Amino acid sequence: MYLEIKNIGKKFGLFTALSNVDLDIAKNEFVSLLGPSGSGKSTLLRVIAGLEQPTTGSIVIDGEDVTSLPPYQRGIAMVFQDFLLFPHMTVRENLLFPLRMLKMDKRESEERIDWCCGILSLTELKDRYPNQLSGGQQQRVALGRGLVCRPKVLLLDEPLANLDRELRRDMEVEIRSYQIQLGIPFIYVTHNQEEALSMSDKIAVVNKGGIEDFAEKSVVYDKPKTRFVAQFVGRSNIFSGRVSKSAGGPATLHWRGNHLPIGAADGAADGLHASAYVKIENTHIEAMDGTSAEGKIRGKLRDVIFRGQYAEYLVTVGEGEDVVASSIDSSTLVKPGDDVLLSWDPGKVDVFADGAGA
Amino acid sequence: MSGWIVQRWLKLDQNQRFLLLTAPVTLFLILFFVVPLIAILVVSFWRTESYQLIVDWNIDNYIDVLTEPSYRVFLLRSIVTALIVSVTCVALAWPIAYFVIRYGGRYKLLLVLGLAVPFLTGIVLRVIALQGVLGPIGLLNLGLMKIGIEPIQALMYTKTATAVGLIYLYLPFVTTAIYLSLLNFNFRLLDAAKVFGAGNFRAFWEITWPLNWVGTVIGFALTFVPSLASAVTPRFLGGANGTLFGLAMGSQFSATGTWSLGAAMGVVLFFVSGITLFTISRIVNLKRSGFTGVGSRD
Amino acid sequence: MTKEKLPVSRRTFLKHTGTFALAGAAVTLPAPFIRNARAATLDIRALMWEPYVLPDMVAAFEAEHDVNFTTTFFDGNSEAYNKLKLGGTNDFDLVQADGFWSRLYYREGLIRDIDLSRIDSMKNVFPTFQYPDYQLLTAEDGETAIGVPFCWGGYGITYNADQISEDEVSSLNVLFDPKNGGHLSASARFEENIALAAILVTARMGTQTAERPDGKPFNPYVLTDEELAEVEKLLIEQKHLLTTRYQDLGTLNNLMRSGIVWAAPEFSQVYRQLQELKRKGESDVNIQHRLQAKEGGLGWIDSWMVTSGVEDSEKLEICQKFMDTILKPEHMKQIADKAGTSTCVDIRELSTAEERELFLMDRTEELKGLHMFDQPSSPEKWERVWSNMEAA
Ligand SMILES: Nc1ncnc2c1ncn2[C@@H]1O[C@H](COP(=O)(O)OP(=O)(O)O)[C@@H](O)[C@H]1O
Ligand SMILES: [Mg+2]
Repeated sequence: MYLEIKNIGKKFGLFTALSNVDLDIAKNEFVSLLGPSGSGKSTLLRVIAGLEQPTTGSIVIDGEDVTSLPPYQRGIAMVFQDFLLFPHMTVRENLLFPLRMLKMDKRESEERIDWCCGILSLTELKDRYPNQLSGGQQQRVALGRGLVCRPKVLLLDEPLANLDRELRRDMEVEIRSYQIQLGIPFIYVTHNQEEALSMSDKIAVVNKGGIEDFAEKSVVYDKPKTRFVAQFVGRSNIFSGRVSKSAGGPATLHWRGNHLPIGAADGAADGLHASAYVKIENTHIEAMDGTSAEGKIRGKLRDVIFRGQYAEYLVTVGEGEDVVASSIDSSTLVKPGDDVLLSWDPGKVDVFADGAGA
Repeated sequence: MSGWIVQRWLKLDQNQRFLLLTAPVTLFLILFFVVPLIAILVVSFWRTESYQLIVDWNIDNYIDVLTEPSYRVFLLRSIVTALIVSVTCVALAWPIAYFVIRYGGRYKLLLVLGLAVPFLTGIVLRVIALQGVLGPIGLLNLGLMKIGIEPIQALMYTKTATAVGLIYLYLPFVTTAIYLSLLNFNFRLLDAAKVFGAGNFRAFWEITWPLNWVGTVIGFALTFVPSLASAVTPRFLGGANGTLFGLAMGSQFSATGTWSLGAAMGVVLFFVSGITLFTISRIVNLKRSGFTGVGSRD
Repeated sequence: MTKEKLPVSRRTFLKHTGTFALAGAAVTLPAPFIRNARAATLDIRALMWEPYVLPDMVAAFEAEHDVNFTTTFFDGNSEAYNKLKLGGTNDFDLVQADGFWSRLYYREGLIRDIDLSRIDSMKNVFPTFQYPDYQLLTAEDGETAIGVPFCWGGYGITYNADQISEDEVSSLNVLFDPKNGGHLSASARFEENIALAAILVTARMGTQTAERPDGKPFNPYVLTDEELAEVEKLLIEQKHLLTTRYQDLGTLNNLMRSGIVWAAPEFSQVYRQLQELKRKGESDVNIQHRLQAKEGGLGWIDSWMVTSGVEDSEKLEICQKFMDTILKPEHMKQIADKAGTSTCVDIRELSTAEERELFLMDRTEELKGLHMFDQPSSPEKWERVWSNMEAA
């Protein structure tokens, strides 16, 4: 593999920030590290960059073990969340900095900078200082500084976190296109699953210093490997109850007197407690009009929230408990106050045994 | 009552408010800075005779200060001393301030307050204390003699001793200036520099040094200007050959009563300091200083 | 930056110091003076040297005369002179000065005449300090009394008798002898340095005994340009022989006690300090004092005067009462103990044999040969001489 992260562990004193992190990343892959704040994403990035020395494990880039190399000999580049542009240098000088460190000759440097300014529309801003730029412009300079030296790997630590929403969406597309253009791996840290899902080839879900799941993004989304992933990626309704599995037949979950279909339920054993995760977009809503309520949940529609392309239905099931269904089918003829039925495709349910690892 | 004040205040326009707010400061500056300065300027164009100030407009005092070899020697000695002292102070203060910032941890504040401890006593007391350390039967030389080493002649009543004394006096100022500068410095910029190919030294030179240049220069000026005018330190430590400009100037007022000559010396000193500060302000490019730059938001 | 005063004047005799230079400055820190809280009808304001304050005496005086006594301190004569010139005659009632300065004050109308017959204590003053032996506290008319003498001292040579012979120290040359290079010190006072050098220079040039241009007897504070040029040369030569110019007595004390400095002119306080130490067995250096060299010497007598701002007789009466009170032997003894100076009042009956020797109480006659501290004939020319020497 182009970039191999092997068994990385990192302790700060007694505190374990990373443990047993293994990731193999191919040359043209866009990988997101997705996880809640404090889970160790930045630490992992800093270990890869060489800004932090790992306690265990090694980093191999393009066949070379760089674990003991200082950052400036690793040929990587990084885009920081707070940009960290050099405030005493103009945009051009900021972009020139990595090239100067590489002792690149003048003509080539200028070409690189022109190229960089061109694709990031920075040409007009070349002679400005960072404090004369808007947040979005600063972000582009930070990105440019990462791209201009054509690194072997580009590390991005929540680069869009400080931008507003619209800007973020545009940048997502752009960043992805640069990665394709350069053909190098981007390792992109974010706690925002939409960002991770929209840009990445693969997602590594980070939790408490370990990798919970590392796979193609669709796999991570559709087939979460752990309860944590299911909880963190996408939005799910959660039903907990006793599982019953009849030989050969589909498993069901005893939930408030209902027998809910939960597919094969590989993650659970017969007779034990488990939780079923059903993504909201997989939760169907229909009016209660005399059709069979077998395997479905009855509820009362409390509210409908229109989100533009789709709508969310808040359905009260039992005391004060809401289940959310979402649908793009605006023809669903239910109104708040109506009695409704909720159901799902048993194949799209993720079941995790309760107790251990919850 | 206060409501009335607020109403009046709201009726004022921007300029009037500015005037009102700055009036006390302006008055203070005029009273304690401009007026004495003008008085000195005026007196420098008069004459003294046997402790009498005589209003007899002339520029002889300036001719004397600028042409008499003795005053030129004092001025030259002072400039050289001030340069050596301020450069040394900066060179010493950097590692101290850096160390406190990086490794001071939660004792940082305590260490900085420690820097301020010498300020609690007057300058005279500190210089005399230092004389007790450096002097012929001071701690240093007694210690050396105890272990069988000759006392250090260079530190007994010499210009070197004056320089050591001034460094001791002003090191806390420079250290504080650089400390405050480093306090506002975003050390994570060094991570960026390293990731983009700079080694430790290069990162310091390219990032830390220029971004703390203003603090350094302020520290330099804080040492240079008072060192240039120093009187107490050379008097107690400098010995018979160590008379500096400030000391000579001071004695015009206290001992010899030649006030107008002293005033002219003061004006010359003011100009030399002014030129120094001006030169310094020219070599500081605020845009390049990183002031209000994104680097400091953290 | 430039206006610090010499922190230690000759008045600031540090009785128990010498060990730590630090104490030198501590003593001069203005000691808060406790005022009588009782509202007094009359304010008596003194412009004086700080070591001469006797708080107990002052408190008693205030109580007895129902007055409020306040003090302001000064260091050098010119400082007090300038204060009075700038309207100070209305701010102060009593003022102190040295030697010739009293007559200058009177000439310039800064002080007024007093009535010595109202001051009984004058009977205790050594005749040496009274008219006609001592004339500087009487106006030039030879009749009007303008002040009372207070303390006196010389500016003799304190020397290390193990290194310097009695014969050597009989001449001022000892302070300029290359043989003593690195073992000499001098004060930082430009007037007395120049005047002392002038005594030697004029003796060498033979101009001291010859007729003076002003027709008056020789005064080392009145010099011709040729004499000043010679003084400058001599002082420049001397500079390279000096360990340092002492700025405070603690420094000179250290330098002499450690045996580094063998000879230095001073007001004899360090001599007293080191004698005292020796007697206590804390020092074995043999330090002696020579009041007057064969070429001549410098001396001073300070005084109390009443400013010209005192016009009504009641206030004058109180001021004279103050002079009378402080000149009482028991108070002068306290002054000697506190300030370490010799007094113009005969306090031999209150003193031990050692004190009689140390404070030169039997040697007041020698003062007659001394040239009194004075104002330089031309501060401007003297300043140039001093600067040239310092820059050389
Ligand atoms: N230099 C450090 N010293 C001590 N603890 C650290 C250090 N850097 C990070 N940590 C801790 O490691 C954990 C992971 O931090 P980080 O990698 O920044 O998380 P994330 O980027 O996922 O939000 C946090 O609990 C943080 O407090
Ligand atoms: Mg982070």
